[in-house]
Amino acid sequence: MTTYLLLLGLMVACFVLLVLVAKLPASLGLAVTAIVIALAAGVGFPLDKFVEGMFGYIDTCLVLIAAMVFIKVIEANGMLAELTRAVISAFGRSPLLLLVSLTLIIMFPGMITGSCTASVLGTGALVAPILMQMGLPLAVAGAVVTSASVYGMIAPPVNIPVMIMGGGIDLPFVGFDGILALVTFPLAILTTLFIGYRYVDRSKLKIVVAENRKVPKAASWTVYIPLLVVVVLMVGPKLFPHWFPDLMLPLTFLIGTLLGLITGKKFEVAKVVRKGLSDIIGVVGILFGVGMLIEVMTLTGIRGGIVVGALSLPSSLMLLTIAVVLPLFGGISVFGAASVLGVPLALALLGKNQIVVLSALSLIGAMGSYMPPVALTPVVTAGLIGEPKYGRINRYCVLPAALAVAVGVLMIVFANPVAKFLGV
Amino acid sequence: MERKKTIDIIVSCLLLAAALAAVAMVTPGYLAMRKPDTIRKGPGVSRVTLLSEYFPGVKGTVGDSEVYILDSGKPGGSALILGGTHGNEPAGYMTAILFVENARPQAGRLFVIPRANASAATHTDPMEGTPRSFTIDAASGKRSFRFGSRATNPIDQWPDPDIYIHASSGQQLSGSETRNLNRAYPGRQDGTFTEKVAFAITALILKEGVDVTVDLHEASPEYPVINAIVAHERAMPVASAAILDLEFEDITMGLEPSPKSLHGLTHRELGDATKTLAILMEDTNPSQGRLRGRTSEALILEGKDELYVRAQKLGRLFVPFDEKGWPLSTRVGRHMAGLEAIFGAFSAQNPDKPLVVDGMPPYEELVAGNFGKFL
Repeated sequence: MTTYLLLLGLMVACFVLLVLVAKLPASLGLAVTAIVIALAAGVGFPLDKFVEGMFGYIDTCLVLIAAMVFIKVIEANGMLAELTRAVISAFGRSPLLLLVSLTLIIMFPGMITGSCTASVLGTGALVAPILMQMGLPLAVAGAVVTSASVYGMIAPPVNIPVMIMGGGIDLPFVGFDGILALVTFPLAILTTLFIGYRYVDRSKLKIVVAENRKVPKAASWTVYIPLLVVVVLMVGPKLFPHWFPDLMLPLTFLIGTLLGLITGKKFEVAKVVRKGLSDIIGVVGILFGVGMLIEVMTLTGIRGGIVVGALSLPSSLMLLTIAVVLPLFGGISVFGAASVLGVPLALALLGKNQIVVLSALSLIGAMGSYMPPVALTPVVTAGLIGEPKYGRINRYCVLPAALAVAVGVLMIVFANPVAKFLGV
Repeated sequence: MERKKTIDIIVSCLLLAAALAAVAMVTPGYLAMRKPDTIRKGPGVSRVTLLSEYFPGVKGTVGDSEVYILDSGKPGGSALILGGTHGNEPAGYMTAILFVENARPQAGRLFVIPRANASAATHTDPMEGTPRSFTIDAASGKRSFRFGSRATNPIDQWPDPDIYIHASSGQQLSGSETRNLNRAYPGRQDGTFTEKVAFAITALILKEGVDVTVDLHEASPEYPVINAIVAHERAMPVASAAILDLEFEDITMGLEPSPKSLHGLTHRELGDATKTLAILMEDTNPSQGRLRGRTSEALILEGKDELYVRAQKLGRLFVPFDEKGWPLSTRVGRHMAGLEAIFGAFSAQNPDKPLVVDGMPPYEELVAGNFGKFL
């Protein structure tokens, strides 16, 4: 156990030195850390494992790339501006209603796909400009998009961390919708209001609404076709799984992109696509580095050491472990944390209602989305809105995230009464 | 500015060259995994066929696994043994291989598929750090066997949906389970690669009128269903008699009823879709667990792990785990003893359909570590 602790210490120190002192990009810092740990642990230079690890997030990377190009295309062809105009015209008179409805709009793709990135890059990209027009500063708008996307990921009907943990303890994904809805929607809306409401500039909003009336509508409704097709292709397979083909997210976004080229304004395609790729390439690099590091952590036993270390704490500290370690591990991967740490924790809590426990664990684990080194959701949001430091976005999310963790812990403590009350 | 751009281009080219060189260096190793392990036809094997004989839809694919038929030529019952449903559970497929190479049926017919999901044996999972193979000192010299993945190779089925919806029940699971053979039963002839393999196995059972199906698995020590037989309700009498028989030999094995709400698994779907008595056996495999320490060939073969010893002391496991660990030979021995007990129980309860097999490596020899003697 001591060896694993030493390796873990070396890993953290190495990464911090490389990124903060040597100023290497996070992706290269992760890759070099993986190599250092492999050498220090005596497993040599396992090139095949380094390569294999990098492929751990290949699907996520493809989604990110395809979605970012799609967003840039619908931005360039005028669809984003048109949608912003339409939404502000419709809801602009009531900031409260506008914020609530925008939160639900951001959450939607995540609810359907179980991916917070789909929310950020799907509707988050549409909503962010509206939030800024309402008077929210850049980082605050980013924080609203980020937090709503994180809740979208775990809101029903699809919650992949629960599915992963359920798979580990043979619990089918049945009966979770009610409790997940009760947990996620109020927290998501409260978080948005807590972060953003005070920044809403009513006078600015009035001006925006007034100016909006002067803005001519798009020449044709066809400008919305790319977005409509993407939504249909995303939702269809979930609503009609037996006959609607599931084209998966990368192809869905690619189709949306192609439609974006033939609708709306004309633009310089190569330049826009290149901009999309360069905006997302840093995140892709981080995911490659993380995959490489996790591969080495598993190979050398550091991963197991972390899990057993967490489980070694006295049972009175079990809740503290859940509240701290689960989100920390989520800093590498929320889904990975659900599998590696969530399953043993769920097993340790077998005496409590498992539907409530898994819902709570997914809520707590989802807060790992904000955690470095990956911090996928705020990092992608930052890239999307042009905020150079994702930490500025995270600053506004800390308190609401702590509240969510507290709610999750309380759910675990009172799992059985909660289950009885809700009839799950 | 111009100089910086030049440096950027040079650095980019160097990194690209390094990446291409890395790919070139590791590619042969990955391609080698597609070459299947050698399985020798034992004295009891009367015929070897392919799954495509039962469902042509898998013909020419990696999923067209070999089916070893051991026909005694005498009337009796029939059994199907599935190994390699999960490529990272070596005791399952090593038991099936040992059976093919050693068993001699005396009554009834046996069908053995050592690589039920052959695709799962052709790759390892990213971020799991597992070796691609392990080597055993066999009587015939050193023999290497694949250590694969729980799921179908993405080369054969990709990409995964966000959620996997089991076709006949509508059950929702995480997307990666779409490549898990033991979530795909009874399968679909127009389904995914994995569903087609499941369909072929179901078709075999139906065509051959298989009486008993035993799916050989392993589980991580922190998983509750472990060192156990999971049985469909119709298979319960045979399974419970087998458990009692094993108890007499001091082999502890739990008995779990197949949950009716959990779909896609052999013990549920094959029992519902066919007349076979569907049984699944689980053993203890630390090399697939989440709590394991260093991942290595030694962990696969010797099953020793200090982190699992610690977790056992903390009361986090569902099996005993001490410094002796759970060696592969012991796990194979338990599976082999389980098969023997199941065949015995079936024969006792169905005297008109005896299933008698000689030549199966004895439990005592396997537990003593003499695993290679039978290979």
